[in-house]
Amino acid sequence: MSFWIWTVVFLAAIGLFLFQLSKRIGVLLKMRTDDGRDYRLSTLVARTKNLLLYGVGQYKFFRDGGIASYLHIVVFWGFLTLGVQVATMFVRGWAPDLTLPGLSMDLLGGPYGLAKDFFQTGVAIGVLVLMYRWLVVKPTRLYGFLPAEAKLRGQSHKEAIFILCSIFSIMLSGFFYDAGRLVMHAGTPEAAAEAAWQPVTAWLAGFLAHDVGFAENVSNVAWWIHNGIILVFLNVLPLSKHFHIVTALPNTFFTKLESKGRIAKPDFTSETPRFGRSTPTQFTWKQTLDMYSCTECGRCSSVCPATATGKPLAPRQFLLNLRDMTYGLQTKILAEGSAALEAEVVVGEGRPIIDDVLWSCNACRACEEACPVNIEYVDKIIDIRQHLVQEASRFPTELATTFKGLENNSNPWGIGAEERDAWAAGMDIPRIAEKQDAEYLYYVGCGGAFDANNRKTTQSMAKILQKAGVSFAILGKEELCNGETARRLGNEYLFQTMAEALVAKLNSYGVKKIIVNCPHCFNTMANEYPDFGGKWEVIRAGSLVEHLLKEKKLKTTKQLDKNIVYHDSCYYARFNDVVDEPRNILSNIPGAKLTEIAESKKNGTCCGAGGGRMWMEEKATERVNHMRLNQAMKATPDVIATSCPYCRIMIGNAVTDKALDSKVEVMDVVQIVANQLED
Amino acid sequence: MPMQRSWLTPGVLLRKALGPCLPAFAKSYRRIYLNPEKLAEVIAQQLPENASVLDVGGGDGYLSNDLLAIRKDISLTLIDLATGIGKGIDPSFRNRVHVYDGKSIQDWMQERMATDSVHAVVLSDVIHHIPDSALNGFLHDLAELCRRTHAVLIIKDVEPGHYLATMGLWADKYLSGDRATRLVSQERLTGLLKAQMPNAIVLETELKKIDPPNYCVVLKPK
Repeated sequence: MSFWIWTVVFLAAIGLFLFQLSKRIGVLLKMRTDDGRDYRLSTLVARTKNLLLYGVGQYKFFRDGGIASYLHIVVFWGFLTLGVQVATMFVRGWAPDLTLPGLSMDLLGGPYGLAKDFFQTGVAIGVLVLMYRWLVVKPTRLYGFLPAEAKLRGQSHKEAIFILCSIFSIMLSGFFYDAGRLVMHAGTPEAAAEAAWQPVTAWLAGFLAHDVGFAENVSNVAWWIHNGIILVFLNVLPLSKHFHIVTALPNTFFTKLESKGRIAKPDFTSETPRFGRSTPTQFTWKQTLDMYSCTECGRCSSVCPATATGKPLAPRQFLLNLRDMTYGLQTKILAEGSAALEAEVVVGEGRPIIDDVLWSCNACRACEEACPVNIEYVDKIIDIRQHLVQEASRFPTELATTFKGLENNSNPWGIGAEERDAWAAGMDIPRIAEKQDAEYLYYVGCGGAFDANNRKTTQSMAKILQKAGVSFAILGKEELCNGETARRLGNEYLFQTMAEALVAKLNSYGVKKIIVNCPHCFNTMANEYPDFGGKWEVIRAGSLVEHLLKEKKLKTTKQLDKNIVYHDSCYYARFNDVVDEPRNILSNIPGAKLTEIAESKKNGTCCGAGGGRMWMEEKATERVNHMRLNQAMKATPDVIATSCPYCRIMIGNAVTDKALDSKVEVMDVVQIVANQLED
Repeated sequence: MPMQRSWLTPGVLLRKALGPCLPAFAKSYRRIYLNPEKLAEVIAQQLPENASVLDVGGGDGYLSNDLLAIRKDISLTLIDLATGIGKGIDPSFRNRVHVYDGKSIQDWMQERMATDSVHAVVLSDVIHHIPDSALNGFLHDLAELCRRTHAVLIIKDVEPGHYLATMGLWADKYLSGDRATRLVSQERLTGLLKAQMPNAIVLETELKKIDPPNYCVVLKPK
C-alpha cells in the first residue's frame, strides 16, 4: 500500500516541481541573447573553474569569513553530501533494503556514513544558529536597509524561518530514520559496521533500542516526514528566494568571462536596435538568471555607498523589484512574448524602479564584488539608464550641461580645447604630430588636463617620464575625451560617436602604446575600445612608474616621514584587479609609513564620483565623499594617496568641506613619487 | 489590567525550569518579537525634556532600562496590577524609578495625581492583553489621565497579520496562559483613542517601518 502511496506522492510532487521549473526556464528562453558575450565550448574550462571556485568552493564565503559565511558553507556542503542520503531514502520507497551502488559497508558506505553524520549534525546546528540570527539577532543585512529597502523590511520574512525549520526537520528525521534501522537490524555485521561509522546515529539509536517495534515505527514515520518535507521544499523553491539552490550554480558557471569593466556594445545598426532596456523581456537571459539567483543575503546592499548614505538605491531591492516584476508577468511572457510587454515599463513614477534609484548608482561594482553568486548589477543599471537618456529623455537636469560639454568641447566641463594642454606650458613636451615615432603616447584625459589639482599630477607624470628618459609625446590640443562619462550615464550614442572619433585620431598617428593616469580612461580604452577598433597597449602610469623604479631608472631618495593611506579607485581595484601596484610604489618612498583603511583594496568604498555621479548634485543625504573621508581618517593619515583624478577631486573636496586641510593632504601616487625623486 | 491567566502554565513552568538563566533567555526571547533599542529610541524621541514618565504595565522593566539609558533627564514610575514588578531594573537606574505595583490607573489618579506630576504615559504591549469588553473603559481611564495631566500618551503594540504577531499571540495564549489576548491593529486603536480624545493630535511613529509588526502611536493633547 505504502509503495503505491509513495509512488503517487513522488510523481505528483516531482511533476509539479518540473512544471514550475519549466515555466521559469520558459521565461529565460524568451529573453534576449545579444549580450555580446562568448558562450562557445572553448570557454568550458574557464566556466567550470568559476563553478568550482565560486559555486562548489564557496570562495566568497571563505574570503569574507564571519559566522554567517561559515554556516552557509556547512549547510551547502552538507546538502551536497546529504543528497546521496536523500536519493537513498527516495529509492527505499520502492526497494526498502536497497543501498546505492558503491555505498555498501564493504566499499564506501563506512566513510560516507561518517561524512553524513558529520554534515547532518553540522547542518542541524548551523540551522539553529541561523534561526537565532534571524529571530533574535535580526541583522539589518538580512531584514533590509532603510530607506532604500523599506519594501523588503516591511515583509514578514517568514519564508526564511519556514525553510530553516524544514531543513532542521529534514536533518532530524534523517537521523531518526537511520537510528531506527540500526535498531531493526541490530546483531547483523552491517548494522555493527554502520554504528561504528555513524556515532551520532548510533547514539540516537540507543534511545530507541528498548523496543524494536517502536524503533521501526519511528523509522517509518521519520522516512515519511523526511521525504514529505523534501518534496514540499522542492516545490517551494521556484516560488521563493531559495530558488537560488537551483540557479546559483548555473549562475556561477555563466559568470562573465570578459573584462569586468567592459560594457557590451549595443549594435545600433541591427534590424532590432535597442537603445536601452525598459521592459522585463528586454533583459538578456543571463540578466534574468541573475534575478532568479538572488539569495537576498544583502551583502550587495551592505557595501553600496548609495545605500549607506541614505539614497534610494539598494542593489538587492533593485534586483528583487526586477525579479518580482518578471515573476508577476510570467504567464504573459510565456503566452504572448516580448511584444505584448511594451507597456510594462520597469522604470518611472509608480513603476518598480524610480528614476532616482538608477541615478544614485556610483557604478563602483562593490555590490558585484560582494555577491557570493556573482550577480551583475552595474550593467543592468546602465542598460536602464540608456533607456532613460536615449528613449525617454529623462535625466537629472544638471547632466544636460555635462552632455553638452562632451558634445561640443569633448570634455564634461565644456572647457575650450585651447586649455587642454595648458598644464604643459614651459615643459618642452613634444606633440604627437611633431614626434610620431615616440614610443608612448601620454593620454592625459579630461581630469588631468582641466582640473587645477590634477594638472599637478599630470605635470608630475611628465617630469617622471622626462627624468627616466622615456620617449613620449602628447596629443595636446588635439586630445579628445574617450566618452567614459557619457557611457556610464547611459548616453551610449554619444559615447560611440566620441569613441569612433578618438580611435580614428589615435590610429591616424599609428599609436601603439598609450600611457594613462586615470582608471576610468584606462578601463574604457583598454577594455572597451577594442570593440571600436582601438587595439593598442594601454599602460597605467602606476605600472610604468613601478617598472621604472624596479629598473632603477627612477630613484626616490628623499625622505617622507608621513603616514600615507591609499584610497583604491574602483576602476583599478575592482574592475581591473590593480591592488598591489600603487602600494609597491609607495613602499619605495623612504620614511613613508603605509597604513590601510579598513575598507580597502577590492573592498574599498567609492569616492562618490563613479557612474557619472561626479556630474550630479548630491541632495538631502550624506555625501559619499564625506563618508569615504571619514573611513580614511580612522587610519589617522597625513596623506591620502589616490590614483584617479575623480577620486582626488572628491576626497579633496571632502577634506575642504570638513576643514581638514591642515591635517591631511590629498595627492596622486605619481605626484608623491615625483616629489621624492633625487635631484 | 484584568487578565484571565491560569496559575500553572507552560510559561510558568519554563520560568521555573530556567532558574538563573531566565533573564538571558527572556532577553533573547523578547528580541524575536521586537528590537528593544529601536523601540526605546522611538519612544525617547517623543518624551518632553525632564519628563516624569508613567510606564503603565511596566512589568519587569525591560523597556525602562533602555529608555533611562538614552534619556538621562527623565524619571519613571512603573505601574502595574501585578506585584513584584521592576525586578529587571538596572541598579544604576534605581534612583530614577518609582514602583507602584498592585495598582490601577484609577488608583494612581486617586492617590498620587495631586502630588506627582506626569508628562508622558507609556504603554508597551499592554493593549493586546486587555479583554475587548474592558478596552473602552481602559482607554477612557487613560484619556482621563492625559486630559487632567496634559501628558503625552505613547502606545506600542503589535499589528496583527504578521507571522511574528501570530507567534506572539499564541505564546501569550498558550504559554503564558492569557487566553483573553488578541491583537488590536494600529488603525482600530487610533480610532478608539480618537473617540476618547477627539481633540488630541495623533501621530504615527516610524516603528512600524523599522521593526514590523510593532507599531507605536502618540497622542498629544491640544
